[in-house]
Amino acid sequence: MTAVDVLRLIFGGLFVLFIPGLAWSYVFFLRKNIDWIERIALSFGLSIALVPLSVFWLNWLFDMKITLLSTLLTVCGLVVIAAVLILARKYGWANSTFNKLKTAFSRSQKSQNS
Amino acid sequence: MKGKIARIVELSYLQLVIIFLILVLLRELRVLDFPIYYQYFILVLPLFALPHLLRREKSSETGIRGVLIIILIIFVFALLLRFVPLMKSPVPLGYDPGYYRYTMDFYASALPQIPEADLPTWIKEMYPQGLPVLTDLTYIVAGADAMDNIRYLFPFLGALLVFPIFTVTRNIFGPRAGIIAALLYAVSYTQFEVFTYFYFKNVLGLLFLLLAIYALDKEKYVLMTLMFAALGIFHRPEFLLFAFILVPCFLINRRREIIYAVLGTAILIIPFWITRWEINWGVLSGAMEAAMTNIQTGEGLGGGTFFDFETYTRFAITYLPFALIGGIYLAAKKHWNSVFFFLIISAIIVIAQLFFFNRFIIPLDIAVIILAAVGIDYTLLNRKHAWKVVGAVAGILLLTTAIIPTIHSVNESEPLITEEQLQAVEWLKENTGENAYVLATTNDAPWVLGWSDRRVIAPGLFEWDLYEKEEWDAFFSTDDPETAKQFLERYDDPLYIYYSVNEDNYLGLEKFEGKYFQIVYNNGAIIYQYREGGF
Repeated sequence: MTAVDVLRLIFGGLFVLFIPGLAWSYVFFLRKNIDWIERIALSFGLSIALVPLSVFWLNWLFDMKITLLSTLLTVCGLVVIAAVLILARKYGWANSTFNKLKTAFSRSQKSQNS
Repeated sequence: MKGKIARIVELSYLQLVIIFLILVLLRELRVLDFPIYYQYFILVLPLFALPHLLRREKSSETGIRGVLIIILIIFVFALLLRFVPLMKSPVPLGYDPGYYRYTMDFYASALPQIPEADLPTWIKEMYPQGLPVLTDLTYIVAGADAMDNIRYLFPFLGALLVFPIFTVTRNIFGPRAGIIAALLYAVSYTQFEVFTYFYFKNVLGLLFLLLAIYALDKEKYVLMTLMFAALGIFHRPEFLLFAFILVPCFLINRRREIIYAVLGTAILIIPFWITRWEINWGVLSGAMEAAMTNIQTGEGLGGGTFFDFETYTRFAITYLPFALIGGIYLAAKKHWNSVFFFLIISAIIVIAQLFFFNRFIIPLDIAVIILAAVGIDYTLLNRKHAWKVVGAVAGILLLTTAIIPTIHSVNESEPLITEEQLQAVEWLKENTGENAYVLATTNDAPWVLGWSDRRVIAPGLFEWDLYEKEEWDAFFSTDDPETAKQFLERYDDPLYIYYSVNEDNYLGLEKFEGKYFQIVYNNGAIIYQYREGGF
């Protein structure tokens, strides 16, 4: 095994088995809510759960082939979704969208009643 | 008067603990083994612990400094224990590595697709899709082949369990209990045996089970859904165990979110289960049928390959009394949490011998470790003045005693076949045609399957076995080359016979002395070539 193989093993392993879960751990727990021990446990657990689930679902639904590119995109996609959810919570997008929908719904009901 | 008796019982408890631990230590060191049934202590010690335990008020314990460093040290220790056998021999421990290697290679060779339709039934029965799909991805991205996953990922994940065990225990019972639980896990003989048996899926199942319990306790139901789904695609027995844990939790809490989480899990695992519905249903209904039969007849069938409960109590005796103390504490304080149900349900499955009960000792041991940490923390370490020192000494004595059988196992663990015998299997791969059959005993078959890349004929295993048990028995017991020839006639040439020369391996080599057989390899293992027309 060459040095490149070892580096690929370590960083590739972290990319699949740790990074997506790390991103998702921030979706479930804010930075201050848990310490690094919990985050490490969650990062590995979530990555090992989410990555095969996503790949299998994509393969089943869209017959996505499991290649290096599709795997990289899936893992990056998981990280991006987590980032969007974190930002949505931080800036209250989810609440504001929900409130807008609620207002629109009540308006339409009022107009129907009148 | 009542108070005085309680005080005497309370003081006797610490002395009794020290005596108990010294007795077990002497036995484990093989210095002195009294003719007493040590398991009685499991019941006696909690009785003496009761007065102190019931008076205990809620702890005002705050965080412990440097806890990350402590957990990292425990993790490294657990990792080193698991790498010692690897340093002694490159051949993995356990009976299962061949099955795992074959399955991982089967999936990897089918890339970029998932070979669901081409899988033989035994793979579908033994391996839910989660692990082979995961190893496909580590292969594509990290270049980790099946052997890298077997050699490095498996011990790493085994040691990694230190983190979720600490997390779950600390979350419910405080950081000191968390550290004790992590320590107990690292020195646990049972958990080290999981490694020597090569129960890869079990280790992943425990990771998800612990995180699911953590999520349930934290009321993070989306996280719980993901972990529950992961259990469903990685390890069915622990999936079933968590489903059982959810039932009393739901009945007590009446949280609608638990129902939504179950529905969410069902949706997430649909593509995995729908393609194997009959097999998964067969496994589940088989477990239920086994449970019913065992309840009615008490025969204890279908326990799975692992040591039995009696053996477990012998090796876990140092911390079992404290687990019972922890369980009694939760019951007395009416803390009906997920860990309590985890202990009760897994204990019922194991002790009542319902189904797969020997294998359920593995999660039971985790529940025992968590509650033992609670028992140790609350009755030994939560003391004042000089008794605190006595409690700490008892704690150290306990860990020392618990690690001795594990150290013995680390030293004595050896692969089931030698390096030479594995080289003989690899010789088959390099020197026989790709369409060759290899006949092997049940002991040798997984190694031949995993390392030779050839079709393996073995009693009761794999899709190439064409015979019933009685026919195999007749083949094994005969010395007659003609009978052996007739048995092998149903297969086309080229056909080889692999036999590793080990004490507990039997094939009856006399039958291969006729003109139809020729030795082509003989070094630690014997390989015969069979030719229908003779040599």
